[in-house]
Amino acid sequence: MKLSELILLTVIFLIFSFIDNKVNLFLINFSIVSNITYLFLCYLCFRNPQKINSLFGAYIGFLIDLNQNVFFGLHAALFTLTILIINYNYFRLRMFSDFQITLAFSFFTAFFIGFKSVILITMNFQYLVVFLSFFSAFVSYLFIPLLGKFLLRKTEL
Amino acid sequence: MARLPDKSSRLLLISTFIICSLFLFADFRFGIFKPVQNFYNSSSLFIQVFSREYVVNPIFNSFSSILINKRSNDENQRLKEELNNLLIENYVISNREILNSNVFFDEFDIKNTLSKLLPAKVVDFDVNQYLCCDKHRMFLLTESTRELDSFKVVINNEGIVGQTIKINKSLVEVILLSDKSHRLPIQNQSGFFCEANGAGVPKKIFCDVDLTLDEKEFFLKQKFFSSGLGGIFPKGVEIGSIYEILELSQKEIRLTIELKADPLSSNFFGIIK
Repeated sequence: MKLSELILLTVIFLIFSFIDNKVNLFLINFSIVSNITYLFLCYLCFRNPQKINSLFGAYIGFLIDLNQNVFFGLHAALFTLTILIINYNYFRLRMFSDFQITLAFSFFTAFFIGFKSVILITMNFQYLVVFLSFFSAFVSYLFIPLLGKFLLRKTEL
Repeated sequence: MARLPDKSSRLLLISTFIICSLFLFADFRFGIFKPVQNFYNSSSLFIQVFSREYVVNPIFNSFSSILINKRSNDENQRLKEELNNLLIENYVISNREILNSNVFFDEFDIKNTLSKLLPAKVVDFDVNQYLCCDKHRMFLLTESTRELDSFKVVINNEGIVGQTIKINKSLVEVILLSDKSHRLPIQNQSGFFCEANGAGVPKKIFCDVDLTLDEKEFFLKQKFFSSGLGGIFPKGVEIGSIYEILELSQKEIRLTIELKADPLSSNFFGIIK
């Protein structure tokens, strides 16, 4: 990956993280959590697994941990785990239709939310949040590929 | 074992995940990365505060001050115009008796008087020519030149400054009293009449007096008024006072009169219709 691409992706992820934070302020009343950052990582990893490796996932994860002031390594571990899973099931996922891909990534997102909730809000963990996050991720992922293609149209990613 | 995409290293994937998990465990259990997070938070806060205080706020303030300045300038200009109009109106009202006695105002009526007063603004006044040379003209812009004709009196808040000579659409050319080719019938309080010529010098007109027929007494600061004989200027309006008495010969003197109204004192004038 070129340095310019790395900087571009860093900026995109930080912006998505910022948007997630702001959107969640409004969605939390409906027990929904926005996950554009995570879904974008899934999309990116599935699009180009050679370049989006686990080191990149760890880098972005640590950066978001610092930015969101959560446990250091939380996002990094989950991002690397996601990249690991996508890499291990890459050829299987390639055979999926778009709908199935969306379902799979929504499932990943639900797991991501669940794990984060267990670590961050242990006392107030709600299954409803995990359940609804699945649907919100499903809806969000309908737009993520378009957004990704638009943002990365001038890169080799 | 599952096949990986090309160039992907199984070892790298698993080792990165394990290291990240260890980081998470270390921070969750022992909080050993708290100093790192604190440093990051304090740095980002410092950058935010610094950029807000020294970059964003100064730029925003400068832009807003430009806007405020522009607004206050416009407001100031508007108020200035209103003030000048009021000063002209005030001049008319305070001299109503004199103005009533001329051919323009039969009877003083504030509404009627003000309706006969057309506010005008300077659009072109060659001050260099005014100060150096003997042609003293200026161009005024009025809202409407309907019912406006040549030879109308032009005043400012200090008094009469001249008369209109040409009207072109909304532009009015004004000849000042001090113009070399301007003539103004004046009189003093002792009943002396003369036709004052523009001196071609700012705020100066002069009268040549022949003392052959009668002895007259003149002194400096003696006031002169319009006599109303020309049919243009109202009678009894103070024009100025004697500035200099020059002896041309034994029986002829030249009275130089300094005008009361300075055309440079304001950009706003009134034309009496």
